[in-house]
Amino acid sequence: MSLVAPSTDASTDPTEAEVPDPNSGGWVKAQTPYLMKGCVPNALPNTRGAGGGGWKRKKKGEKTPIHLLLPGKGTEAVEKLTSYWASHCLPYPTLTAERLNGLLMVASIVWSGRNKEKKTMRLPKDHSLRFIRSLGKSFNPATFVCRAWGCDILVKGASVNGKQTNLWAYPEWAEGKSQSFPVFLSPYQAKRWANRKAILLDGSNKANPVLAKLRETLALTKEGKGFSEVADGLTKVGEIDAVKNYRNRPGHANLTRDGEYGSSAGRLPEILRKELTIGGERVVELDVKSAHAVLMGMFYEGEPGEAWAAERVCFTAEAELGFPTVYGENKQHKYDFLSALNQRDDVGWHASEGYRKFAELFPLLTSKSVRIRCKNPKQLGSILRSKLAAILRDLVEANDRDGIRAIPVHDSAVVATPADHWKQHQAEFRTAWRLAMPIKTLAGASPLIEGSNGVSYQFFVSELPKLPAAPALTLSPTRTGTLGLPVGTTLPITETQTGGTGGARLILTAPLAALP
Amino acid sequence: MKLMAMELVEAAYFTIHGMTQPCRREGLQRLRKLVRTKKTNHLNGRAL
Repeated sequence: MSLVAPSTDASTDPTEAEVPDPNSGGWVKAQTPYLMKGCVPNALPNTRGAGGGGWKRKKKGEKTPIHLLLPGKGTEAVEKLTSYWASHCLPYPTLTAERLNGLLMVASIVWSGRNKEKKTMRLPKDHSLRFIRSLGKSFNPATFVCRAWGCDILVKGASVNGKQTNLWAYPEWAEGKSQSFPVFLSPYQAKRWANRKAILLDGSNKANPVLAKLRETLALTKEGKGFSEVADGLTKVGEIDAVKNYRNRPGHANLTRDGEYGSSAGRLPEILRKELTIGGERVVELDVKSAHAVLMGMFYEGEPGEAWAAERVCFTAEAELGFPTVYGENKQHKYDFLSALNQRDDVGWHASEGYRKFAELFPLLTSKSVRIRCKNPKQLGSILRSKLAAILRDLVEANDRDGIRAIPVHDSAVVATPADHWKQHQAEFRTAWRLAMPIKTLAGASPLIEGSNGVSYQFFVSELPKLPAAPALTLSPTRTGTLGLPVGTTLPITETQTGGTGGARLILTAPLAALP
Repeated sequence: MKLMAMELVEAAYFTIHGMTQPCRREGLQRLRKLVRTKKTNHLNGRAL
């Protein structure tokens, strides 16, 4: 067995430790100034590579223990693992030192990555298998560890990307305490342990390719010239904390349960996000106005009858105008209304004037939303968030194919805009299109996409019942050198964005007289 | 083909709202090129 008991050698005489002598090049006994108060020599900064050891001279062939963080008293956690192995692992009767060390590495990663607030632990199966390979792919080391510790399973199943990830409760016997436990790992295992962060990151990137792309973008994201000045002027506690978090972990990105891609850059206040640069290029933020409210239109889908169809026409008109009736003249009811979508119907009704207007205008849609929220008031918000998250995920993928770097932020996207006019236009336009068109397809209403540079986009695409056989259309240049298209010219397209049987009609509403 | 509609409108928008005259000219050239390419031929048969 390669385990040793936890070091309790607090009574070691500090004067016995040795330190490098700059004069002779050899080693001399440490003097008191080298030692911090209450420290033993082994706890001093490590100068001999990974694994601790401090200033103490390493004898030839001597192994250095690696300290793993385990719950409760470390020995108790190990005992539970070995006894569970003896009683449950009949296909693998031999618990070798290497296997136990592999399990302990997984155990330490599970415990170190715990959520202290919610008292939960999780580690995807793919990640844990990278630290213990000899038991086959059917064996889930993280599950084995949590079962051995007697933890309750809270959520069983797959993550957003289909990888097996179970959520476990804290082991009760640990009482939330931890202790480091020294273990002698084999050279291969020690190497894996030293590179564990890179291994876990690699596993996460492979499981979530979009997250990997986002991390690449965040690595290129820097504070612009005006960032510090604007950050110094912030007064709200939440905003100041967001800046601190960003500066501590600028490349941090995570995937939420709704499938939303969060990042410390994305959580910055909007005024600061404009001051970022991506790869040295200025950024523009394209924001979907009233995204959740417009997306409510998707609940009309699949509802039969003329009453639903008639209400949908009204909803589309209201949504495309920016909900002027629901939000009020000065948009004073906007935030109350959006909050009400995440509350119980009766609470929202009393709290929000906008919600009452909405219910009056669209009674069928409101009744359906009440049915969705009857069991869980936050269910509606969760559905809308996950739909929006899927749209932004597709946007990041598609933009990446075009070489456009984007950071998703809830219902908007921050994109890098190159200095070249055409590329700048392409980055902005394609992002706006990829935000608007899926919402249009889902909800039937075209949202307004507002750019932080003052340019706004709204796309109106109407379906044709059936494409004419040969529409009279001339796009070839005329003798005057212009397109020869009158205002409102129709460009029929057989392949539609909306997936209907006919075509999509694109109407150029701007005057073509402006052409050169 | 989904990209095609986006490309067309993208070039048309740049042709109309380009910041400078060279921009608008570039947009026009891109629009013509898109229209000439095979992938837009299905728009209105061979008339293009």
